[in-house]
Amino acid sequence: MRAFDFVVAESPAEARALVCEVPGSRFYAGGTTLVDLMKADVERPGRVVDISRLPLAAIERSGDVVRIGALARNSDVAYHPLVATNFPAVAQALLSGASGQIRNAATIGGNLLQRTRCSYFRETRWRCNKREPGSGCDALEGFNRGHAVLGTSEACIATYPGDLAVALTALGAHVVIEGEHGERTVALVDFYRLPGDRPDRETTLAGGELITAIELRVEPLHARSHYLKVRDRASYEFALVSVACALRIDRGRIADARLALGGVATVPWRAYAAEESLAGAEAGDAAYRVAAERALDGARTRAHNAFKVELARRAIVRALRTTAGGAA
Amino acid sequence: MTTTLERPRTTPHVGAPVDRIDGRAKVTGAAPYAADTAIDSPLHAVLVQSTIARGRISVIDQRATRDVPGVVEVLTYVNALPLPALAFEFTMPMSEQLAPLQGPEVHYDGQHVAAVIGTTFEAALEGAALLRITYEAVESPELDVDTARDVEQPEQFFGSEAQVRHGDPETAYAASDVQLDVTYRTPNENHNPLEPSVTVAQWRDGELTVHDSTQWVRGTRTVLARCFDLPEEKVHVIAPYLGGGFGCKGFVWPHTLVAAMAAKITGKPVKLVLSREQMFTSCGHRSLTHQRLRVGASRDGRLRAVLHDVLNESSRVNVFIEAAGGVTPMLFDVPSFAVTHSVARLDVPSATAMRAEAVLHRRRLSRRTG
Repeated sequence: MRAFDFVVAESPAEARALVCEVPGSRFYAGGTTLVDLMKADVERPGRVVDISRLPLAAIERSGDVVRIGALARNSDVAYHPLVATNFPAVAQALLSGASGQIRNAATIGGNLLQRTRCSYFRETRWRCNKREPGSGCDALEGFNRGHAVLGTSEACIATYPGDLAVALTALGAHVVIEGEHGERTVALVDFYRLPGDRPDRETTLAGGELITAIELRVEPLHARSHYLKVRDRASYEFALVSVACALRIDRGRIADARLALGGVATVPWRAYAAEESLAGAEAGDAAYRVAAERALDGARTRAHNAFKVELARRAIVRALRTTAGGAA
Repeated sequence: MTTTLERPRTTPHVGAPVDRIDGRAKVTGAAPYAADTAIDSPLHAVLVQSTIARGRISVIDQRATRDVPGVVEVLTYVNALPLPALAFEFTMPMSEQLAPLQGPEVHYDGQHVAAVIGTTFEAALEGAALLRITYEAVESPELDVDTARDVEQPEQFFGSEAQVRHGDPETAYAASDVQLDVTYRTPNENHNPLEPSVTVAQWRDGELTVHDSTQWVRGTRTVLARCFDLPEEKVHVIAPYLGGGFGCKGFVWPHTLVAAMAAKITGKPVKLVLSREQMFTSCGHRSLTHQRLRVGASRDGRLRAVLHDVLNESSRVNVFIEAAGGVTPMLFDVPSFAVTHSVARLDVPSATAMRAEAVLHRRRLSRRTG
């Protein structure tokens, strides 16, 4: 760990100003990702700006939109009635992540920005284009069992590790961002960047921009949603494969579907082609299997992660079956 | 009419709850562990470890480290005190037959190659992160026990026969009605107790005092006395509490010698705490084992022959046998048996004892003979 300034911000505007003053500064909310990476010498901010006291933790409904403040704790969001009732996949995704202690500390805004678990990124002795652009990628020919099969590039195959963002991606959530020119709102699918040749650029956040909230629309489709996480052990583990889905079924036919994957892609992965194949189909395994095939189209595997393709297909079928429940 | 039998008298301790003597201090946080040693303004040492498994250090660039405010010294093989290499003996619990920081050679990934000493822990930690070490790796490391070229069968280990033989087990096995030939593999396992390994070392008037998280106080004293050429009465090893050991604090590991050396060179007390990550390579692990077990029995269920071959790994600088076959000849009345223990010397961290060996449970034969 390197020496750094630690300053406490009293307002979002002040927080942004403090971050802009020193290049490479970081906001600090729950600290569950940042502090770990600072200890591992991966993150080396010259200044850390504590935003944990800002009034950004409210969870409120206004019309058809539920707005979750960026500083709301993962555990508070998971158990909030507005979330648990209207967006079960979000609550399930949150509760499948990390441990009780970490969920109590971690914030929703910070969770969107958690970094990959790729060991070549987290251990500075290896080459990593995400950590040091242009240095190379040792994961390509290394131990890449946990790595992505979708959205990869020759520069990076690191998996997006989170659960929450996968559920939010399926349910079409938006991120509210405060910046120099006021507030802007961006769909979560447009928030994350594919690695391409610059895997160090993970989001479309500009320097000094601060996430202030997440917005979700209340609708029947989102209320019938589900998150399935498949992993090496039953808790406190990242996903090998995860599936977030939502279904609206009308007299045995799928009227509308949402599907996103985690654990297999470099970003939270919305499976549009699979959703299209489901729309209008008769609810049942035949349609789910077609969707599962579509969702993994274009998957590129490496030496140790080929198993993820079939695992993901089966997880998709199971998640859709669970979501359809008695209506299938 | 009923009769009540009088309960037989027992000593008051049998069956009665007994407080562990250090239990209250430990659970209330009152117990002073080695790292809690009250000592005036100690220096802090942070170890830097090798990032290759086999080769040599070619360049150590200390400039950025020396520029960190609070960094007072960087110990490497270039400026370290010469220490003798001590062989493992029954009474001298040296874990590795190579004293730390004595040369540029690297024998495993995670070997101590430098110690950065600072007036604060933070300064030492930052200095350690900034130390740039370049290696020359000529040969590929040997890491796989299956293809190891250097395999030894020591005659003795810890005062016991390591290769045991009785009767004619090969012939008896071949002639047995029922034969079982199975190979079991157990993985590497690490101890990593709650309290990491710690040494706080201080020199005063030619005497060395060490607060150490050790399970072997006298052994640590013996090793320190031999390494620093002192009579044993001038070495004081203090370890009132241990926050878990499980075997990884049983022997003397190189960090203890680095701390004592750093205190001698700087003339100040030095505190050295292994990080959680460093614990994985710095104080041993239970080696993986490959165990081939051949058991011959007659139809009536009598064992005729047992052959048990145990293979484990260890480093280039330590010979440690995972004595998994030690109890094999003791369990049953078998007329013929042979137990072998082999150790593959690899470019991996050293193996050591972990509470209870990787001993197999034997139920399969009874199922086979009915």
